[in-house]
Amino acid sequence: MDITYLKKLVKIVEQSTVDEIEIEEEGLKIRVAKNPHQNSSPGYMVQQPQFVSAPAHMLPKEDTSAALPPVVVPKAESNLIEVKSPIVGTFYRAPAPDADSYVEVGAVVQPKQVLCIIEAMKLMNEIESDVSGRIVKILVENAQPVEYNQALFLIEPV
Amino acid sequence: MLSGVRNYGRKTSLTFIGNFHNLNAMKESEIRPFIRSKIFGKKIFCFDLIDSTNLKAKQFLQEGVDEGTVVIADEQTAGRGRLNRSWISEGKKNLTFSIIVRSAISPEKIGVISIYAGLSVMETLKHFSELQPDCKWPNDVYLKGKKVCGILSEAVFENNRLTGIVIGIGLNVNQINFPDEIKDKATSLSVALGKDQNRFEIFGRILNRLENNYESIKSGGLKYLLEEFENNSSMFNKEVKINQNGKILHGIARRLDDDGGLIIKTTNSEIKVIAGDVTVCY
Repeated sequence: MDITYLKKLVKIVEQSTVDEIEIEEEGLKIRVAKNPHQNSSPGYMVQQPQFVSAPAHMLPKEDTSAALPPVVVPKAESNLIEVKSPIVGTFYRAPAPDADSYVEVGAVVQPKQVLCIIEAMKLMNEIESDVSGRIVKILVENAQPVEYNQALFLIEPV
Repeated sequence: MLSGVRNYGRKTSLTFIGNFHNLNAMKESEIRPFIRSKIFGKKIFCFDLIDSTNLKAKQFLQEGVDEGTVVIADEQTAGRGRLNRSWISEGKKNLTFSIIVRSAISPEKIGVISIYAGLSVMETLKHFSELQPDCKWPNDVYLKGKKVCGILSEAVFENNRLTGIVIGIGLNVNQINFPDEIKDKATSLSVALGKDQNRFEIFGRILNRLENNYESIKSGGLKYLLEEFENNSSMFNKEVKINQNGKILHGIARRLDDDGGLIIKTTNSEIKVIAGDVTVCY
Protein backbone atom coordinates (compact mmCIF):
# COMPACT_ATOMS: atom_id res chain seq x y z
CA MET A 1 0.00 0.00 0.00
CA ASP A 2 1.31 3.41 -1.02
CA ILE A 3 1.72 5.62 2.09
CA THR A 4 0.89 8.70 0.00
CA TYR A 5 -2.39 7.08 -0.88
CA LEU A 6 -3.14 6.54 2.82
CA LYS A 7 -2.26 10.14 3.64
CA LYS A 8 -4.66 11.32 0.99
CA LEU A 9 -7.42 9.20 2.48
CA VAL A 10 -6.79 10.70 5.91
CA LYS A 11 -6.80 14.19 4.44
CA ILE A 12 -10.09 13.55 2.67
CA VAL A 13 -11.75 12.52 5.92
CA GLU A 14 -10.19 15.44 7.86
CA GLN A 15 -11.36 18.03 5.37
CA SER A 16 -14.84 16.68 4.79
CA THR A 17 -18.00 16.28 6.81
CA VAL A 18 -17.59 12.56 6.43
CA ASP A 19 -16.73 10.75 9.67
CA GLU A 20 -15.39 7.58 8.18
CA ILE A 21 -14.55 5.90 4.91
CA GLU A 22 -13.88 2.26 4.35
CA ILE A 23 -12.31 0.78 1.24
CA GLU A 24 -11.81 -2.84 0.42
CA GLU A 25 -9.84 -4.00 -2.55
CA GLU A 26 -8.48 -7.44 -3.30
CA GLY A 27 -8.71 -8.60 0.28
CA LEU A 28 -7.15 -5.44 1.77
CA LYS A 29 -9.52 -3.38 3.86
CA ILE A 30 -8.73 0.19 4.94
CA ARG A 31 -10.90 2.20 7.29
CA VAL A 32 -10.18 5.82 8.10
CA ALA A 33 -12.40 7.27 10.85
CA LYS A 34 -12.45 10.52 12.82
CA ASN A 35 -13.96 8.76 15.80
CA PRO A 36 -13.28 5.05 15.79
CA HIS A 37 -15.50 4.43 18.81
CA GLN A 38 -18.54 5.20 16.72
CA ASN A 39 -17.84 2.08 14.69
CA SER A 40 -19.47 -0.21 17.15
CA SER A 41 -22.64 1.81 17.28
CA PRO A 42 -25.43 -0.15 15.59
CA GLY A 43 -27.04 3.07 14.41
CA TYR A 44 -23.89 4.50 12.91
CA MET A 45 -24.37 3.40 9.32
CA VAL A 46 -27.93 4.64 9.29
CA GLN A 47 -26.85 8.09 10.40
CA GLN A 48 -24.10 8.36 7.79
CA PRO A 49 -24.67 10.81 4.99
CA GLN A 50 -25.41 9.26 1.61
CA PHE A 51 -22.16 9.38 -0.32
CA VAL A 52 -21.63 9.46 -3.99
CA SER A 53 -19.71 6.31 -4.66
CA ALA A 54 -17.26 4.99 -7.19
CA PRO A 55 -14.91 2.00 -7.18
CA ALA A 56 -11.95 2.27 -4.85
CA HIS A 57 -9.31 1.51 -7.45
CA MET A 58 -10.51 4.43 -9.59
CA LEU A 59 -8.89 6.83 -7.14
CA PRO A 60 -6.06 8.58 -8.97
CA LYS A 61 -2.89 8.22 -6.90
CA GLU A 62 -1.12 11.35 -8.06
CA ASP A 63 -3.91 13.88 -7.76
CA THR A 64 -4.22 16.27 -4.87
CA SER A 65 -7.07 15.52 -2.54
CA ALA A 66 -8.90 18.62 -3.69
CA ALA A 67 -8.97 17.30 -7.20
CA LEU A 68 -10.08 13.80 -6.29
CA PRO A 69 -13.35 12.59 -7.71
CA PRO A 70 -16.12 11.52 -5.38
CA VAL A 71 -14.77 8.97 -2.96
CA VAL A 72 -15.68 5.37 -3.24
CA VAL A 73 -17.42 4.22 -0.16
CA PRO A 74 -18.92 0.79 -0.22
CA LYS A 75 -21.17 1.41 2.78
CA ALA A 76 -20.67 -2.10 4.01
CA GLU A 77 -19.84 -5.32 2.28
CA SER A 78 -23.27 -6.71 3.08
CA ASN A 79 -24.88 -3.87 1.15
CA LEU A 80 -23.34 -5.02 -2.10
CA ILE A 81 -25.51 -7.20 -4.26
CA GLU A 82 -24.02 -10.22 -5.95
CA VAL A 83 -25.20 -11.09 -9.44
CA LYS A 84 -24.88 -14.85 -9.74
CA SER A 85 -24.81 -17.21 -12.69
CA PRO A 86 -28.06 -19.18 -12.99
CA ILE A 87 -26.33 -21.91 -14.99
CA VAL A 88 -23.02 -23.61 -15.70
CA GLY A 89 -21.41 -22.10 -18.78
CA THR A 90 -18.93 -19.64 -20.27
CA PHE A 91 -18.94 -15.99 -19.21
CA TYR A 92 -18.86 -13.31 -21.90
CA ARG A 93 -18.69 -9.61 -21.15
CA ALA A 94 -19.69 -8.55 -24.68
CA PRO A 95 -22.23 -9.74 -27.24
CA ALA A 96 -19.42 -10.48 -29.74
CA PRO A 97 -15.63 -10.80 -29.53
CA ASP A 98 -15.07 -7.42 -31.21
CA ALA A 99 -17.91 -5.59 -29.48
CA ASP A 100 -17.81 -3.29 -26.48
CA SER A 101 -18.46 -4.83 -23.08
CA TYR A 102 -21.99 -4.57 -21.77
CA VAL A 103 -20.74 -2.86 -18.59
CA GLU A 104 -17.53 -1.64 -17.03
CA VAL A 105 -16.59 -1.15 -13.38
CA GLY A 106 -18.11 2.11 -12.21
CA ALA A 107 -21.04 1.99 -14.63
CA VAL A 108 -24.49 2.68 -13.25
CA VAL A 109 -26.95 0.03 -14.36
CA GLN A 110 -30.71 -0.19 -14.34
CA PRO A 111 -33.05 -3.13 -13.79
CA LYS A 112 -33.37 -5.25 -16.95
CA GLN A 113 -30.06 -3.96 -18.27
CA VAL A 114 -27.94 -6.76 -19.73
CA LEU A 115 -24.69 -7.29 -17.82
CA CYS A 116 -23.18 -10.30 -19.58
CA ILE A 117 -23.88 -13.50 -21.45
CA ILE A 118 -23.44 -17.01 -20.12
CA GLU A 119 -23.23 -19.61 -22.86
CA ALA A 120 -24.02 -23.25 -22.31
CA MET A 121 -23.68 -25.40 -25.42
CA LYS A 122 -24.68 -22.66 -27.84
CA LEU A 123 -27.57 -21.65 -25.63
CA MET A 124 -27.01 -18.00 -24.89
CA ASN A 125 -28.27 -16.50 -21.66
CA GLU A 126 -28.32 -12.75 -21.24
CA ILE A 127 -27.94 -11.99 -17.55
CA GLU A 128 -29.76 -8.83 -16.52
CA SER A 129 -29.45 -6.65 -13.49
CA ASP A 130 -32.34 -6.87 -11.05
CA VAL A 131 -31.48 -3.57 -9.39
CA SER A 132 -30.40 0.00 -10.00
CA GLY A 133 -26.82 0.32 -8.91
CA ARG A 134 -23.19 0.84 -9.68
CA ILE A 135 -20.89 -1.96 -10.80
CA VAL A 136 -18.27 -2.20 -8.06
CA LYS A 137 -16.45 -5.28 -9.23
CA ILE A 138 -16.49 -7.77 -12.10
CA LEU A 139 -15.49 -11.06 -10.57
CA VAL A 140 -14.88 -13.22 -13.65
CA GLU A 141 -12.55 -12.77 -16.61
CA ASN A 142 -14.05 -12.77 -20.09
CA ALA A 143 -14.53 -16.17 -21.76
CA GLN A 144 -13.90 -18.08 -18.52
CA PRO A 145 -16.06 -20.98 -17.33
CA VAL A 146 -18.47 -20.30 -14.49
CA GLU A 147 -20.32 -22.61 -12.14
CA TYR A 148 -23.95 -22.59 -11.12
CA ASN A 149 -24.58 -19.80 -8.61
CA GLN A 150 -21.07 -18.36 -8.98
CA ALA A 151 -20.93 -14.63 -8.26
CA LEU A 152 -20.27 -12.60 -11.42
CA PHE A 153 -20.66 -8.97 -10.39
CA LEU A 154 -20.83 -6.89 -7.23
CA ILE A 155 -23.36 -4.06 -7.49
CA GLU A 156 -23.82 -1.27 -5.00
CA PRO A 157 -27.46 -0.17 -4.99
CA VAL A 158 -28.03 3.51 -5.72
CA MET B 1 -37.69 -1.21 -47.91
CA LEU B 2 -40.64 -2.63 -46.09
CA SER B 3 -40.41 -1.67 -42.48
CA GLY B 4 -43.81 -2.66 -41.21
CA VAL B 5 -45.00 -5.99 -39.94
CA ARG B 6 -48.13 -7.99 -40.16
CA ASN B 7 -49.22 -9.72 -37.01
CA TYR B 8 -51.63 -12.52 -36.31
CA GLY B 9 -53.25 -13.78 -33.16
CA ARG B 10 -53.59 -11.36 -30.31
CA LYS B 11 -51.57 -8.77 -32.23
CA THR B 12 -54.10 -7.54 -34.75
CA SER B 13 -52.51 -4.42 -36.19
CA LEU B 14 -51.71 -4.40 -39.90
CA THR B 15 -48.98 -1.96 -40.79
CA PHE B 16 -47.15 -1.52 -44.05
CA ILE B 17 -44.76 1.36 -44.54
CA GLY B 18 -42.57 1.94 -47.55
CA ASN B 19 -42.33 0.16 -50.88
CA PHE B 20 -44.85 -2.57 -51.55
CA HIS B 21 -42.50 -4.80 -53.48
CA ASN B 22 -43.29 -7.92 -51.57
CA LEU B 23 -47.03 -8.20 -51.46
CA ASN B 24 -46.68 -11.94 -52.07
CA ALA B 25 -45.44 -12.18 -48.50
CA MET B 26 -45.71 -15.08 -46.13
CA LYS B 27 -49.26 -15.80 -45.01
CA GLU B 28 -50.37 -17.94 -42.12
CA SER B 29 -53.04 -19.47 -44.37
CA GLU B 30 -50.25 -20.96 -46.49
CA ILE B 31 -48.60 -22.51 -43.46
CA ARG B 32 -51.54 -23.68 -41.36
CA PRO B 33 -52.52 -26.70 -43.54
CA PHE B 34 -49.15 -28.28 -42.78
CA ILE B 35 -49.29 -27.92 -39.01
CA ARG B 36 -50.17 -31.18 -37.30
CA SER B 37 -48.60 -30.49 -33.92
CA LYS B 38 -51.04 -29.51 -31.17
CA ILE B 39 -49.11 -27.04 -29.04
CA PHE B 40 -46.13 -26.07 -31.14
CA GLY B 41 -47.39 -23.68 -33.80
CA LYS B 42 -50.83 -23.31 -32.27
CA LYS B 43 -50.06 -19.63 -32.45
CA ILE B 44 -47.88 -18.38 -35.28
CA PHE B 45 -46.76 -14.81 -35.85
CA CYS B 46 -45.77 -14.28 -39.48
CA PHE B 47 -43.52 -11.45 -40.60
CA ASP B 48 -42.49 -10.43 -44.08
CA LEU B 49 -39.39 -8.72 -42.80
CA ILE B 50 -38.03 -8.60 -39.28
CA ASP B 51 -34.74 -7.82 -37.59
CA SER B 52 -34.50 -11.21 -35.90
CA THR B 53 -37.14 -13.81 -35.10
CA ASN B 54 -35.30 -14.57 -31.86
CA LEU B 55 -35.51 -10.96 -30.72
CA LYS B 56 -39.25 -10.84 -31.42
CA ALA B 57 -39.83 -14.21 -29.78
CA LYS B 58 -37.94 -13.07 -26.66
CA GLN B 59 -40.19 -10.03 -26.52
CA PHE B 60 -43.27 -12.23 -26.81
CA LEU B 61 -41.88 -14.57 -24.16
CA GLN B 62 -41.52 -11.70 -21.72
CA GLU B 63 -45.05 -10.60 -22.55
CA GLY B 64 -46.28 -14.03 -21.48
CA VAL B 65 -47.33 -15.75 -24.71
CA ASP B 66 -48.16 -19.46 -24.61
CA GLU B 67 -45.58 -22.20 -24.89
CA GLY B 68 -45.19 -23.37 -28.46
CA THR B 69 -45.76 -19.93 -29.96
CA VAL B 70 -43.75 -19.48 -33.15
CA VAL B 71 -42.34 -16.40 -34.87
CA ILE B 72 -41.54 -17.00 -38.53
CA ALA B 73 -40.19 -14.53 -41.06
CA ASP B 74 -39.63 -14.47 -44.79
CA GLU B 75 -36.55 -12.38 -44.30
CA GLN B 76 -34.37 -11.20 -41.43
CA THR B 77 -32.29 -8.05 -41.51
CA ALA B 78 -30.21 -9.08 -38.51
CA GLY B 79 -30.34 -12.87 -38.36
CA ARG B 80 -27.75 -13.98 -35.83
CA GLY B 81 -25.71 -16.96 -34.86
CA ARG B 82 -23.51 -17.65 -31.85
CA LEU B 83 -21.69 -14.57 -30.51
CA ASN B 84 -23.52 -12.32 -32.97
CA ARG B 85 -22.18 -14.00 -36.06
CA SER B 86 -24.62 -13.15 -38.83
CA TRP B 87 -26.91 -15.81 -40.29
CA ILE B 88 -27.09 -15.28 -44.04
CA SER B 89 -30.34 -16.43 -45.61
CA GLU B 90 -31.94 -15.41 -48.89
CA GLY B 91 -35.45 -14.01 -48.46
CA LYS B 92 -38.47 -16.19 -49.28
CA LYS B 93 -36.31 -19.22 -49.98
CA ASN B 94 -35.63 -20.69 -46.60
CA LEU B 95 -37.05 -21.18 -43.14
CA THR B 96 -36.12 -18.80 -40.36
CA PHE B 97 -38.23 -19.15 -37.26
CA SER B 98 -38.14 -19.16 -33.47
CA ILE B 99 -40.19 -21.20 -31.07
CA ILE B 100 -40.88 -20.54 -27.40
CA VAL B 101 -40.63 -23.30 -24.79
CA ARG B 102 -40.99 -22.92 -21.08
CA SER B 103 -41.08 -25.92 -18.86
CA ALA B 104 -39.38 -29.15 -19.85
CA ILE B 105 -35.76 -28.39 -19.00
CA SER B 106 -34.30 -27.51 -15.62
CA PRO B 107 -31.63 -24.79 -15.54
CA GLU B 108 -29.01 -27.41 -14.58
CA LYS B 109 -29.52 -29.18 -17.90
CA ILE B 110 -30.46 -26.19 -20.02
CA GLY B 111 -27.81 -26.90 -22.66
CA VAL B 112 -29.74 -30.01 -23.63
CA ILE B 113 -32.08 -27.70 -25.54
CA SER B 114 -29.42 -27.35 -28.22
CA ILE B 115 -29.09 -31.12 -28.60
CA TYR B 116 -32.86 -31.52 -28.69
CA ALA B 117 -33.36 -28.86 -31.38
CA GLY B 118 -30.58 -30.07 -33.64
CA LEU B 119 -31.68 -33.68 -33.34
CA SER B 120 -35.29 -32.75 -34.12
CA VAL B 121 -34.30 -31.03 -37.38
CA MET B 122 -31.98 -33.87 -38.30
CA GLU B 123 -34.74 -36.45 -37.72
CA THR B 124 -37.11 -34.37 -39.84
CA LEU B 125 -34.67 -34.39 -42.74
CA LYS B 126 -34.54 -38.18 -42.57
CA HIS B 127 -38.00 -38.02 -44.12
CA PHE B 128 -36.15 -37.58 -47.41
CA SER B 129 -34.77 -41.01 -48.08
CA GLU B 130 -32.14 -39.57 -50.43
CA LEU B 131 -30.56 -37.56 -47.63
CA GLN B 132 -28.14 -38.70 -44.99
CA PRO B 133 -28.25 -35.84 -42.50
CA ASP B 134 -25.58 -35.66 -39.83
CA CYS B 135 -25.45 -33.88 -36.47
CA LYS B 136 -22.46 -32.10 -35.03
CA TRP B 137 -22.40 -31.28 -31.35
CA PRO B 138 -24.25 -29.51 -30.05
CA ASN B 139 -26.80 -28.55 -32.69
CA ASP B 140 -25.53 -28.13 -36.24
CA VAL B 141 -27.05 -30.20 -39.03
CA TYR B 142 -25.00 -31.13 -42.06
CA LEU B 143 -25.58 -32.68 -45.48
CA LYS B 144 -22.50 -34.18 -47.12
CA GLY B 145 -20.21 -32.15 -44.90
CA LYS B 146 -21.94 -28.82 -45.53
CA LYS B 147 -24.08 -26.97 -43.04
CA VAL B 148 -27.79 -26.90 -43.87
CA CYS B 149 -29.21 -25.75 -40.55
CA GLY B 150 -28.03 -23.46 -37.78
CA ILE B 151 -29.65 -23.09 -34.40
CA LEU B 152 -29.31 -20.34 -31.82
CA SER B 153 -31.17 -20.77 -28.57
CA GLU B 154 -31.53 -18.02 -26.01
CA ALA B 155 -32.79 -18.32 -22.46
CA VAL B 156 -34.61 -15.61 -20.58
CA PHE B 157 -34.11 -15.39 -16.83
CA GLU B 158 -35.97 -13.05 -14.52
CA ASN B 159 -34.77 -12.72 -10.94
CA ASN B 160 -32.51 -15.70 -11.57
CA ARG B 161 -35.49 -17.86 -12.48
CA LEU B 162 -35.83 -19.37 -15.92
CA THR B 163 -38.78 -17.77 -17.70
CA GLY B 164 -38.38 -19.67 -20.92
CA ILE B 165 -36.22 -20.42 -23.91
CA VAL B 166 -36.36 -19.20 -27.48
CA ILE B 167 -35.06 -21.70 -30.04
CA GLY B 168 -34.09 -20.00 -33.28
CA ILE B 169 -33.80 -22.27 -36.32
CA GLY B 170 -32.48 -21.37 -39.74
CA LEU B 171 -32.86 -24.10 -42.36
CA ASN B 172 -31.68 -23.59 -45.93
CA VAL B 173 -34.44 -24.99 -48.13
CA ASN B 174 -34.52 -23.55 -51.64
CA GLN B 175 -31.48 -21.29 -51.71
CA ILE B 176 -29.15 -22.21 -54.58
CA ASN B 177 -26.58 -19.44 -54.57
CA PHE B 178 -24.57 -18.63 -51.48
CA PRO B 179 -22.23 -15.72 -50.88
CA ASP B 180 -18.56 -16.41 -51.55
CA GLU B 181 -17.64 -16.49 -47.87
CA ILE B 182 -19.92 -19.45 -47.15
CA LYS B 183 -20.41 -21.17 -50.52
CA ASP B 184 -17.95 -23.93 -49.67
CA LYS B 185 -19.51 -24.53 -46.25
CA ALA B 186 -23.26 -24.14 -46.79
CA THR B 187 -25.87 -26.14 -48.64
CA SER B 188 -29.65 -26.40 -48.90
CA LEU B 189 -32.25 -29.11 -49.33
CA SER B 190 -32.79 -27.94 -52.89
CA VAL B 191 -29.12 -28.31 -53.71
CA ALA B 192 -28.99 -31.75 -52.09
CA LEU B 193 -32.22 -33.02 -53.65
CA GLY B 194 -31.95 -31.37 -57.05
CA LYS B 195 -35.32 -29.60 -56.89
CA ASP B 196 -37.21 -27.03 -54.86
CA GLN B 197 -39.13 -28.13 -51.79
CA ASN B 198 -42.28 -26.88 -50.11
CA ARG B 199 -40.70 -25.05 -47.19
CA PHE B 200 -43.95 -24.80 -45.24
CA GLU B 201 -44.50 -28.54 -45.42
CA ILE B 202 -41.01 -29.01 -43.98
CA PHE B 203 -41.76 -26.38 -41.34
CA GLY B 204 -44.84 -28.37 -40.26
CA ARG B 205 -42.78 -31.54 -40.05
CA ILE B 206 -40.11 -29.85 -37.93
CA LEU B 207 -42.70 -28.51 -35.50
CA ASN B 208 -44.24 -31.95 -35.23
CA ARG B 209 -40.87 -33.54 -34.46
CA LEU B 210 -39.96 -30.79 -32.00
CA GLU B 211 -43.25 -31.35 -30.18
CA ASN B 212 -42.87 -35.14 -30.06
CA ASN B 213 -39.34 -34.91 -28.71
CA TYR B 214 -40.36 -32.23 -26.23
CA GLU B 215 -43.10 -34.47 -24.88
CA SER B 216 -40.54 -37.24 -24.66
CA ILE B 217 -38.23 -35.06 -22.53
CA LYS B 218 -41.12 -34.05 -20.27
CA SER B 219 -41.99 -37.67 -19.68
CA GLY B 220 -38.44 -38.61 -18.70
CA GLY B 221 -37.01 -39.54 -22.06
CA LEU B 222 -33.99 -37.25 -22.02
CA LYS B 223 -31.53 -40.14 -21.89
CA TYR B 224 -33.13 -41.69 -24.97
CA LEU B 225 -32.84 -38.37 -26.80
CA LEU B 226 -29.14 -38.08 -25.99
CA GLU B 227 -28.59 -41.64 -27.22
CA GLU B 228 -30.42 -40.78 -30.43
CA PHE B 229 -28.04 -37.89 -30.97
CA GLU B 230 -25.03 -40.15 -30.43
CA ASN B 231 -26.48 -42.72 -32.84
CA ASN B 232 -27.14 -40.11 -35.53
CA SER B 233 -23.89 -38.22 -35.40
CA SER B 234 -20.79 -39.36 -37.27
CA MET B 235 -18.46 -37.44 -34.96
CA PHE B 236 -18.28 -40.02 -32.18
CA ASN B 237 -15.15 -42.11 -31.91
CA LYS B 238 -13.45 -39.67 -34.26
CA GLU B 239 -10.74 -37.16 -33.48
CA VAL B 240 -12.16 -33.71 -32.86
CA LYS B 241 -10.65 -30.26 -32.44
CA ILE B 242 -12.43 -27.86 -30.13
CA ASN B 243 -11.72 -24.16 -30.32
CA GLN B 244 -12.64 -22.40 -27.08
CA ASN B 245 -11.97 -18.74 -27.85
CA GLY B 246 -8.51 -19.53 -29.16
CA LYS B 247 -7.73 -22.33 -26.73
CA ILE B 248 -7.55 -25.54 -28.73
CA LEU B 249 -8.45 -28.96 -27.34
CA HIS B 250 -7.81 -32.21 -29.18
CA GLY B 251 -9.35 -35.55 -28.35
CA ILE B 252 -11.61 -38.38 -29.39
CA ALA B 253 -15.34 -37.66 -29.10
CA ARG B 254 -16.63 -40.38 -26.79
CA ARG B 255 -20.20 -39.69 -25.72
CA LEU B 256 -22.62 -37.17 -24.29
CA ASP B 257 -22.91 -36.56 -20.58
CA ASP B 258 -26.39 -36.63 -19.07
CA ASP B 259 -26.61 -32.85 -19.38
CA GLY B 260 -25.59 -32.89 -23.03
CA GLY B 261 -21.94 -31.98 -22.47
CA LEU B 262 -19.47 -33.59 -24.88
CA ILE B 263 -17.04 -36.03 -23.32
CA ILE B 264 -13.75 -36.23 -25.17
CA LYS B 265 -10.78 -38.44 -24.43
CA THR B 266 -7.51 -36.61 -24.52
CA THR B 267 -4.07 -38.14 -24.17
CA ASN B 268 -4.29 -38.24 -20.41
CA SER B 269 -7.90 -38.13 -19.37
CA GLU B 270 -11.53 -37.61 -20.23
CA ILE B 271 -12.74 -34.01 -20.41
CA LYS B 272 -16.26 -32.68 -20.50
CA VAL B 273 -16.76 -29.85 -22.99
CA ILE B 274 -19.66 -27.43 -22.67
CA ALA B 275 -18.56 -24.72 -25.10
CA GLY B 276 -16.54 -24.24 -28.23
CA ASP B 277 -16.53 -24.76 -31.97
CA VAL B 278 -16.04 -28.39 -32.87
CA THR B 279 -14.22 -29.54 -35.99
CA VAL B 280 -14.22 -33.23 -36.83
CA CYS B 281 -10.82 -34.37 -38.13
CA TYR B 282 -11.77 -36.86 -40.85
